[in-house]
Amino acid sequence: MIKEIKIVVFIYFLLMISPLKSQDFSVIQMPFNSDYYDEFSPVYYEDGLVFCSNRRSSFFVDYTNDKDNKPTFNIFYVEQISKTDWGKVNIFEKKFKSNFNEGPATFNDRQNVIYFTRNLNYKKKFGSSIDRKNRLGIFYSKLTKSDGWQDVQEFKYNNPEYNVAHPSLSEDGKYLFFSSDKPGGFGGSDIYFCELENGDWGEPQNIGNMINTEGNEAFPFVHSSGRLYFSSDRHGSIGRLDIFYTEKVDDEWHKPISLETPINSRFNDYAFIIDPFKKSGYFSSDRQRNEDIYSFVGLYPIFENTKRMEKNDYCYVFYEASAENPDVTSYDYEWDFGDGSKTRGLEVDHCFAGPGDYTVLLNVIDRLTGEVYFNEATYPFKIEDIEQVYINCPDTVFVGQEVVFDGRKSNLKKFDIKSYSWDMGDGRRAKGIEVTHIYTSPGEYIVQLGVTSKTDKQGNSEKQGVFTNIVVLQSAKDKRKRD
Amino acid sequence: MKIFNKLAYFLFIRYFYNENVNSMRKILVVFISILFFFNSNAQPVPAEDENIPFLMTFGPKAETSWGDDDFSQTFFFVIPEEFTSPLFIRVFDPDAGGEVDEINGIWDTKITYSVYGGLKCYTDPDAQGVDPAGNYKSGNLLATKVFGENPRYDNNWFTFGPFNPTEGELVKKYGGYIFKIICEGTEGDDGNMYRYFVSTSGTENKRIEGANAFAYEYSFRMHNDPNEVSHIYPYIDDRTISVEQKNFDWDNDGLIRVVSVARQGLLCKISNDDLWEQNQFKILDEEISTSLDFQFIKKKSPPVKNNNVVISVKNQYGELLPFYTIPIGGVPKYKYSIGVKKKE
Repeated sequence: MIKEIKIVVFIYFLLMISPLKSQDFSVIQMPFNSDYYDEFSPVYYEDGLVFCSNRRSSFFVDYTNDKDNKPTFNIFYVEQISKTDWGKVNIFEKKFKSNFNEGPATFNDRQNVIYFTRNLNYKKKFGSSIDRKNRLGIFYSKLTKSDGWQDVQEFKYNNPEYNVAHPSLSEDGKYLFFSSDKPGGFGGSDIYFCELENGDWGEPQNIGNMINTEGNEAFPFVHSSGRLYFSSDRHGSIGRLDIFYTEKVDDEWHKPISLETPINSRFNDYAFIIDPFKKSGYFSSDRQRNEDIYSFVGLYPIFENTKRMEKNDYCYVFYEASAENPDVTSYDYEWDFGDGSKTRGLEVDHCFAGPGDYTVLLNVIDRLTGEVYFNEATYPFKIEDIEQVYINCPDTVFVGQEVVFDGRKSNLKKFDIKSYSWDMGDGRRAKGIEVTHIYTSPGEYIVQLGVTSKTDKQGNSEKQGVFTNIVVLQSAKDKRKRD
Repeated sequence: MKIFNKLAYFLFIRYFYNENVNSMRKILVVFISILFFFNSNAQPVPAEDENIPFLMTFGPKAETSWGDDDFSQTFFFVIPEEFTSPLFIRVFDPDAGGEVDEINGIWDTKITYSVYGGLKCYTDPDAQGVDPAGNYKSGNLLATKVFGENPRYDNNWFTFGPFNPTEGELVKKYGGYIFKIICEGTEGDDGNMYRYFVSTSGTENKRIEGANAFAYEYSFRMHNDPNEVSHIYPYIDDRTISVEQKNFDWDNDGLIRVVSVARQGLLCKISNDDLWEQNQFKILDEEISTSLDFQFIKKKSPPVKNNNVVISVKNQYGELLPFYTIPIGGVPKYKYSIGVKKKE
């Protein structure tokens, strides 16, 4: 027992000292957050952000929420004036304002259709704004050049018996992701999606138990790359809601990966959006007591369009090329591969240990006379690694095993590598030509290595990257323990 | 001078084959090849590269099953036109008796050697046949001698000559004078094993630079050692499309394999005791204007001893191809090359 505890402590220690724990994002609280009120769920719109807030929006009357006596939530817009400066916060569209809550929104690619969350009975004049019976639903409106935003329409799958909220449209507009606590899910709120079929939304489909848990999954955001970000209070959350992402691999959603601190914290962290290049974005958090919007910038280099790494293969087939019909009865061939090994045969396979310059010699044995003719043919043979970034690591490892990832075999011509950046596929990153990592959960992970070149005279540098898969198995010991 | 000649030869050949070879060039290549060939420098018959122990001629009363189909063998010597000194044709072990030869009962065989020169000694069509028929003894008889059992010449040399080179027949195609020597069994049934050497000396073997020898049919004794491989080198001119080899009384002693610059090894049919066997094969483009290497590989067991054989090679027109004792362009060697492909 003590030994097992020691192992666990050792692994924890390794994780603590690992460079993978380094913070790769800088997080800033947005200046347009109000001191007293709440702001959350930003989305990109034109040159700024659309978000929801319960800040006061009317000088005279504001309906308030009975619980904390703050006004109900409305949709606002703020323009970004410069890199650090933001304009005045305004109601996004008066047509969308009601006595109840309007919340998280999403736009199509052309930004002429909005889907947003609001209370179903938004036309009620009286009643509690936190009335549990007044469920949330999704509504939408279309923008016309002449008449502006049209009358709000109701999403066909809204239901007064449960909530349907937090819409997120895919870039091609064919999928609408949202969260709902509709019956038949995996517990709490789950993430669903509808597919556009002949101009109409198909039946909501639960995204599956790889993502949805008995806890709460909400605030989906589908990135243009297809990556799905969402928030959950499960999946090993370090506190309340945390932000995770997943991707489809072979038509199956990959195991969710938690974003690192300081994006995730022990408070609620949710409503994450990120730019198309995955370099910067926004999220919401109540880490400063109020719900606020935060921006983040990745300090970690982003490697777009990484290619699947090709395995270096040093295996070749050698044959005598002159003879159309080799005389197999009269001759035998002895191949000297120049690496200390020899093989006999008319056509032979040989795997070299690695790249290098080899001289392959062909000795011919005359079976009829018994004579050996040495060096009848020579072949200077240069073997080079594939020109690519290279990840040297095992294919399969065990949970808790210390795994070495080595980038030394990267072979890039006219590319002076300055730095090596690793994404271990479980949300952790590292820097260095060789890193060690321990996986804590079984599964198949995508490991990425990106390299950055030294800057040239103009200050430009280049990036290249590859990815490969690593399978992490549960150790036999853990399996026995679980059984 | 020798080195220069070889170098010039190869440079010349390379020049022509690096271009698109047209027929005129081919003719030139052949001509130049022959000129250079006769600039070679060796006249032992059989030559070193042939690794044939002895030529062979039996007495006329011998059964052909002993290995000689016609009891006669004709060889031609070519002396370069510019060579003006006296020359000698020497015969090793010319008699029929003693250690080297093959006895059949008692030594009762007479062997006649006749040296011919002058007009038609080579150019008469009968002289270039495989059979001792018609006017095969064409030309001027310059010398002749009959040998029986004679211990004086057993394992020893007899010398014909001196001859003036101009006593041969001048054949411009070969760039020199041609002498013909016919060895015939005229009495008895024993086997005569012998060799020739064209020399500048009557008492020792001194090579004549640029001289050579050839025959259209080879009758010879195979080695007894099963590890020895004998060769003959028929020359393939640019008229040759296919060839037919024909061999006699091989006693199924191993294999006949043809190797060339483009042919790794082609096995030919071989004859049994007192029988003829033949087969045809096509000539490859790369083999034009080169020699083929007919390899005679003896079988290891059971060993065949004192095997006497006859072989000739014809082209598709039925014309005999000459076996040059020094192969034109050197001993043909198959050119191996290594191919590499990625393992699937």
